[in-house]
Amino acid sequence: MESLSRISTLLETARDLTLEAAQSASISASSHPPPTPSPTATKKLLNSRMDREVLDGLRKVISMMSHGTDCSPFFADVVKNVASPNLEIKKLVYIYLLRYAESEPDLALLSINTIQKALTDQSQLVRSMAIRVMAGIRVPVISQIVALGIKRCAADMSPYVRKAAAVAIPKCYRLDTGTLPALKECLGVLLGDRSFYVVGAAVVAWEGVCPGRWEMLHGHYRALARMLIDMDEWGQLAVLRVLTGYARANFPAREKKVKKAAGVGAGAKAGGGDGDGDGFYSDESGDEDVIVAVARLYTHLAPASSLPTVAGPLISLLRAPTDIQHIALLNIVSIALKSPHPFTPYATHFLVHASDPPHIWKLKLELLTLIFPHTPTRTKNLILSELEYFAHTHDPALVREAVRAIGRCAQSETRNAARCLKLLMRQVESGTGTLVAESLTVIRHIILQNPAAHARTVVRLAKALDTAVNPSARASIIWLVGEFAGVNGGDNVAADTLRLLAKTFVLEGEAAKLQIVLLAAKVYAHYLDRTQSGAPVQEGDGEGEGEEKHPVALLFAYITLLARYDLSYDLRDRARLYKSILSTPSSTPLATLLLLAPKPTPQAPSPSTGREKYIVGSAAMVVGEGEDVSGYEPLEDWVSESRAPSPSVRDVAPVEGEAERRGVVAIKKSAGGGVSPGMAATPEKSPVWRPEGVKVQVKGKPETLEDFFKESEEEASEEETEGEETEGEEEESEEEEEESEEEEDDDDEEEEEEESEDEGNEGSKLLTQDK
Amino acid sequence: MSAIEALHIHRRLPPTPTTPPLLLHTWRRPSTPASTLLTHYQSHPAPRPPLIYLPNTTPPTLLFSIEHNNLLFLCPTTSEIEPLLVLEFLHRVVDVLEDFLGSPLLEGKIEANYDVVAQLLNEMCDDGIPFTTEPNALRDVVLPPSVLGKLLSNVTGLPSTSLTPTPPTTPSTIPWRRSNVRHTTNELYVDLIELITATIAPSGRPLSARSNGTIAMTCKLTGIPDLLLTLQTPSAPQRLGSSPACGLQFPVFHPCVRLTRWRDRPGELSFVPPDGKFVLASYEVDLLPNVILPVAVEIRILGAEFEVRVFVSTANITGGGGRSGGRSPAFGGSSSNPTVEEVSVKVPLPPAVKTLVGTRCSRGEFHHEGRELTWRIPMNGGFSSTGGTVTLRSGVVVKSTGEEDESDDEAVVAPDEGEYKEDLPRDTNGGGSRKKDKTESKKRSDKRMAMAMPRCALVSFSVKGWLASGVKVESLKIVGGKGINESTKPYKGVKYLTKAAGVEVRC
Repeated sequence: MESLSRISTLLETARDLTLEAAQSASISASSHPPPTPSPTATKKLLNSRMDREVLDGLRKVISMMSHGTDCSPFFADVVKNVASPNLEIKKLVYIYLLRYAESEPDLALLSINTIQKALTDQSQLVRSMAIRVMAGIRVPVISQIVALGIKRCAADMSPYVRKAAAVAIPKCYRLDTGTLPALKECLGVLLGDRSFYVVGAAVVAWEGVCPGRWEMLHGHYRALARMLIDMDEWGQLAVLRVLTGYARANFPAREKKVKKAAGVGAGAKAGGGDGDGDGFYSDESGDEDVIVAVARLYTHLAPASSLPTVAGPLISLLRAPTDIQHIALLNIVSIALKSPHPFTPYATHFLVHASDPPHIWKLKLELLTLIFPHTPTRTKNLILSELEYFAHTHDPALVREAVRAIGRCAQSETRNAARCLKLLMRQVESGTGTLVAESLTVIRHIILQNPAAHARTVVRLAKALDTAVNPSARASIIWLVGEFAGVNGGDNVAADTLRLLAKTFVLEGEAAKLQIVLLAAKVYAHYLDRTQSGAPVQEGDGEGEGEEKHPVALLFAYITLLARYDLSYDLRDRARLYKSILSTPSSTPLATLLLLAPKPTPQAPSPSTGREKYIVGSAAMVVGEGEDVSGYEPLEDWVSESRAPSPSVRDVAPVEGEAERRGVVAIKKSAGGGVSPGMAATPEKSPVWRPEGVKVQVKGKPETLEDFFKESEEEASEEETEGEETEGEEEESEEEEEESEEEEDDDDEEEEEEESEDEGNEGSKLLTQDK
Repeated sequence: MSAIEALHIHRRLPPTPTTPPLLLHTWRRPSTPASTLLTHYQSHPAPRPPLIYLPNTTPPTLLFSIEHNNLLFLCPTTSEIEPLLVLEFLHRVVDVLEDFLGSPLLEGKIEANYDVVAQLLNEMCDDGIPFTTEPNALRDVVLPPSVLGKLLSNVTGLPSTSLTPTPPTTPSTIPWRRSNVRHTTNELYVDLIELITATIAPSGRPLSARSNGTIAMTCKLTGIPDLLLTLQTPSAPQRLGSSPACGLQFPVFHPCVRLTRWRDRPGELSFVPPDGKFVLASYEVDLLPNVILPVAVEIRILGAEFEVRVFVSTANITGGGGRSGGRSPAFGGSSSNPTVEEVSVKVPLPPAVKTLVGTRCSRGEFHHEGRELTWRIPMNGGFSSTGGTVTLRSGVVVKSTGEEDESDDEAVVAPDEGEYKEDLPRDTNGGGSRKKDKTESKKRSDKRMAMAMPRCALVSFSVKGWLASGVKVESLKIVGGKGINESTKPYKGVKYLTKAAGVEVRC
């Protein structure tokens, strides 16, 4: 979605902005320097009896705080006002408290009482603010009070307050981990809340407090999937994040696919499946982050066949501002590294635009090469001509990337290699410095993939030595010529190239010199192989004895002689090595082995290779390999079938405890089968959430695979009916909800809230009964 | 657990690290001081990615950044978090601040309203996790700055005691619409804005042409109205990859839009709108294969000169009836008589260019600075409606080789005399070495000249009263809702605007 500010800047012309900026600058200049109020004056204002003056004082304090000035000297004066009935004052005091309570814990404690009182205020705004502030004050002593407050607010009748309670849970947990049992209880209630406002926040809290405790989610899983559609994007994001992990941990891969197939086919929202239907929804409506979250779900959960569904929405992210575009492209690349097919229809979206900054065009070029092998010929032509165009631009970096991209295109599909090669050869013959060097490296890669077909190319390259000036380019060419020194029984350009190079040896760069020495050694080794003569060159550099020698031997001797007096010790070393190894007939086979061994085909991986290992949409993926982003945890593997909890745990449990219980049974069974200690640890804790007196469900875990499938099919059909129901609901739900909201909105709001509150209470009552 | 830890707003100009930040707001305990982060940010080379990883701070920090007007928003986190969550949140902060403090967002406005900003930030994010971010919901919780508050109270009839106004105690049940909306004048404005991105090959054939559309609405309606907006969409070209039902690709909607309705009947948007300004939806239309633009550009190389020709004509874009009518004549350009404005051509120049000589154009003015030639063409005097051609021509002076780094390379290797050629009978274009030597220098200077020629021209223009995709608002009706007087007829206005910011024409 376009951000509103961007649209409004489009509507208003740039002139308006500068005008207004100038105006405000003149205003601020007139009032500059900003009057820094004296502490005493501020304190006086804060201690005033007039609300207006107190408010003024608070505004000053907040301004100073925003500037980064330390405002702790005002602590007592500010906190004194916490009991003010004025809402505005209260809000500002709370903001202050959140920042400074930690530094003055004793004084902060004085305010707790008032805040606690505010928990029972009539206004839901005040109540929610109170619980947020209370949990936000990082004073460990009050953790118990906070836990109590959360418990109270979790049963509040306003969803707004309940949401605030949910947000407070992780804060309280960080304050004092000892409050966990109480918090988990609250969390259990909040996860089962009827209001989508609350559930999203509750899921976030669950992530913060007890991630990985899937058993807490079993009973709510389907409700979550159903409510996803109504949540705000942050809630959706959290739920999608959790569901991805949940599915991995609780559905064996196979079951997943069966259900997926069913789910996709019916287009329904299979409650027990996963966020499939939800994905469909979010695709169309969500914000950038939600789209990527859905994409992650698809990438990591769904079979490849359903990926095209997310491709379109991901592409739509490219309309966003550059920063979001960048992240979106990274995500697309990391998906495309594994499965480029879904993105093939959108090739034109990845065309590099003249105004793209480097970090954008790099990714775009990469994407073009990734989808290249899978596109129809027309698109291939388009991509290649694009790359060729960019290989001629003025930006050396862009040229380099474009040429590399051409190389990757050739590499990914050998059928096009000839064409790419032709393209590159044109570059070598016409281009300049960087371009030639880069092209040659790529050409070398292409040739080595199919050496037999490229003998003639090497001849052309050897000719290019006349014009190529860049040392690394020359080195590349010489090496290639050396590789082909053996073809046609020695009737090739290698020896002659060597002859020409020998003339200018002293003028070459070091890289080129090294290659020349190597070339000489190779040519000579081939020569030795061919002649099979038992009498190779004798020891000593006797130029005089060389009359009857073959020119190749002479050349080799000459080159080694030159190298022997070179500045570079590396070069000298190598020359000596080649010389000694080729000097005795006994070591000739060894030399051949050393010098003429067939080379493996080089691979130039896509620059982002390695990103696909990370979870789509994560910061670690953006940062890339080599860095360790703290807090990043890779997705779990699919749970094995034997360990997966029975699908029935996700039946919408009337009583929460029951669902959990069943989860325990399943886990316990697998634990009996000798599993890892990590899993075995769970049953030990089972008494915590095993309610007494609930009968064990007869339907246990399926024993065999067939049973399993039968069951999952059954379940799927069950779900279909259920899905239909929910779907029906779905279709109307929005309207219904809105209508009902509209009907009741004006005057009956309270009523609605009470209703929901009743249900909430019911739930918690049931819970307590179970205990 | 992932969390947004703080928000720092810096002035972008002047970019000295010594100036204090404009605003610091922390949600979690700050780990690295703002000034350090700013220094790190500025030490990163110029086109900075939105996410910079700083392994040298303790603990290592992920630094997110966006830029808006003259402000720089930095947002550090120390643990794994979805990058788009943070970026989306930052954009949301900008939107909300503009909504509360007035657009455009400038540093003076923030300085004057620190208390409001602090309240907003506190409400938008709690403990590092986004909390309430819908502008309408925030209006229920935070009062806009007093000036605006007064203004509003005059309009909406709220008690005008600006110091202790009674905020609504009950947040609305519709997340995106604030409760108890009242307006004395009911107005509805729809702005359809399309941004064209296109690349045109030297042959004049478009390689890609897309129009990114956004439907922005300003809705001032009392009560809770239920609206139905019907779009007349162009029939999609039957090609692979586009849905046949609707020409709008990849639509993205505001949460208020009922998706099922759109799915069943594409082109109909049924929704309960938020109050005020918002973006209802955005979409994308592929303009290929027949792209019709009111401005056509041709760029040609003629020896040591290049020539840019611009043809402007609105003849090919008129023709659609003015069914919905422009908003007002003052806006300039209605759908029956679209006007082309702000035509400008930018020619990026390669680094090999030393200077331009003999630049002349038949209309407008040009400006050469750095590696860019900008040419603005005024559209007054009925120029655009009659259709016309304007030309710009310029000669290029190439930097002498001494200034180029190429020369170093040339010095390294003395080119051998090309005798090698004769040894290669297979080579097709083998020629005498002497002859080649002469052509060589000529070739080389040609090559240098070619390297100094522009590769493309970027064309910008805007057209009022016309959409490139042909999308039209067919109707906008209030179909239901609560609290609206049946007899009130809200004023409705529709505005179309097409902008092209850099259509790339290659040569």
